[in-house]
Amino acid sequence: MSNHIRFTLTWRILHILLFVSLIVLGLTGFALKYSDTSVGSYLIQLEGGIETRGLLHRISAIILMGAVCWHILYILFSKEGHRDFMKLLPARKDIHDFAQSIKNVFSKEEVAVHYDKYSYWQKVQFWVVALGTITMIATGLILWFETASMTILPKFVMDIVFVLHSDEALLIMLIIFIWHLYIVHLRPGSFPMDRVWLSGTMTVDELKKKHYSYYQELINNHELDDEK
Amino acid sequence: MKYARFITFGIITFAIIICCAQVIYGQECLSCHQKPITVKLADGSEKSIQVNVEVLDGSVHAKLDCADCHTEKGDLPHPRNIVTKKCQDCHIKESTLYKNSVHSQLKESGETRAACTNCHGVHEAKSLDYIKHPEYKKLILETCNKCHVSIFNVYSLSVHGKAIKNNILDAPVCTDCHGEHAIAEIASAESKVSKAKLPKTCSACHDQEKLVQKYNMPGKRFETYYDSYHGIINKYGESFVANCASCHGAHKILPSSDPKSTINVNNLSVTCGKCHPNANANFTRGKVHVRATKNVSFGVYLVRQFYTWFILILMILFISHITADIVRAVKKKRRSS
Repeated sequence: MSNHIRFTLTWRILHILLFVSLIVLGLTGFALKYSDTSVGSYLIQLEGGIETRGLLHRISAIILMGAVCWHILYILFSKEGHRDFMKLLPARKDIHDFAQSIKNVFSKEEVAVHYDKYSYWQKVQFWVVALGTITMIATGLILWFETASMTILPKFVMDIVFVLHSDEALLIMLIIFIWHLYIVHLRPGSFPMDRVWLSGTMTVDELKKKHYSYYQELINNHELDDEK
Repeated sequence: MKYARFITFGIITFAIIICCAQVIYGQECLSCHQKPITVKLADGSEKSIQVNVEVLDGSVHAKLDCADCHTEKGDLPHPRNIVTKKCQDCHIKESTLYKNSVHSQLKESGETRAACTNCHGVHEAKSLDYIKHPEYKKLILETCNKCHVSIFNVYSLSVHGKAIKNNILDAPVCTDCHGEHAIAEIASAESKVSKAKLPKTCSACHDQEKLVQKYNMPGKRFETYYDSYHGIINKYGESFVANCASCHGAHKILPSSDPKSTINVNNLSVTCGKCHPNANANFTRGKVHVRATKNVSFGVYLVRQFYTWFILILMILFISHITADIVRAVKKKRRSS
């Protein structure tokens, strides 16, 4: 059975950097956000006190920012990265795919939906987290260097930045833990875990089943044969 | 029945004798001590041993006998150094609290002005009921002022001091913030005005709806402080962040409308600048005690409302989609089997 490379090594390393930093950022950040609850104070104690918590948060933030820079450079200057990014851009096909999959739920006959490399739900996931991460980095830096920020920003804007940072974090974490984990790992067909994030490969059969449109495109370009 | 009259007569006579003895005994001391007499102490100074009967009668101890405190009885003239019963023999709870106080430590290191009698007086000790008296709070100020003169002068200029002067007795005097018998050094963690405990002490009034409404003060000071970064860090034991007194001052607290106030718009950059170098006018644009409500911090309110609804709607959509996807998969499996 032949394998198709879905994620390059760079993507896989970036993915690990991203989720490790996001988990630490989430744990240390929510410890502060919910510091008035028992869970929050337990987390703060676990993270070595309120000061160390902040330090851990900033270290993970640096890792996240590094990963984001690498990500941007990769999609700008490498062929594979750029190609993958173009596949992530919203397309008219996504609306048709969405309409069809909703129809499938209510109709007796199921019409197979032929997804491209990334389905509409994967694109939603990417864009919500990507834009959210940019918001988090921007607001996070403003709060980190609060003395410098306040030479430009008035106090009431700083308060808004603080709430933005805190609430956007909740949004991102909910998207990742409810939406991302479901669509990638928990869906029937992938449960309990899709190994593609580790191996980077997918069997051609699986590709055909899950991303038929993309499979067709690769066949037409004679690209599948090269990867064997 | 024959003897009933005699018995009654006997009891009454006995009672009268006892009462007279009491009066006479007290009178016996006062027969000398009511006069302006002095004694010479070992160091050569003179000490008045006159007792002001009016003061004694107004005190909580009025019903006690002289000898209840001045225990050394005996023939007259009594010995030169009468042993005086200690306050702690009766007032156990207060003296235990006092033992850990900064005043007790001072007394042990030789300070003569920090004992029970320095605050409560000797013969004039007032009862607890006196707390209800309108002059009570003013008396406390006078009492502390005996030693803490410079602080008293500063306090008198503050919003609290002025309120007391105007007979607004809800305003705090020394003991309301610093405590009474257990009064501890400010640097000590035990102090009611320590960095960690101060917010709770101030909010005893400033977070109380009744008082806040009565005097038209800004409310929810406790909640809004602990919602802020300053408050959270303080709660977790780091004392480098601002507490109430860092911004508002301690004895010289003034309302923000006062141009001399540390939190007046024109002075805020200096006050914030104590910790935030280069603090500028931006620090004055917005509230320090932020609340996500329409009237207090509209921007914060708006963002919070947006996210609450946005997250809620997005989650409903996502979970519906996930449910639909599972329904679809189950249906598909049924069809194929």
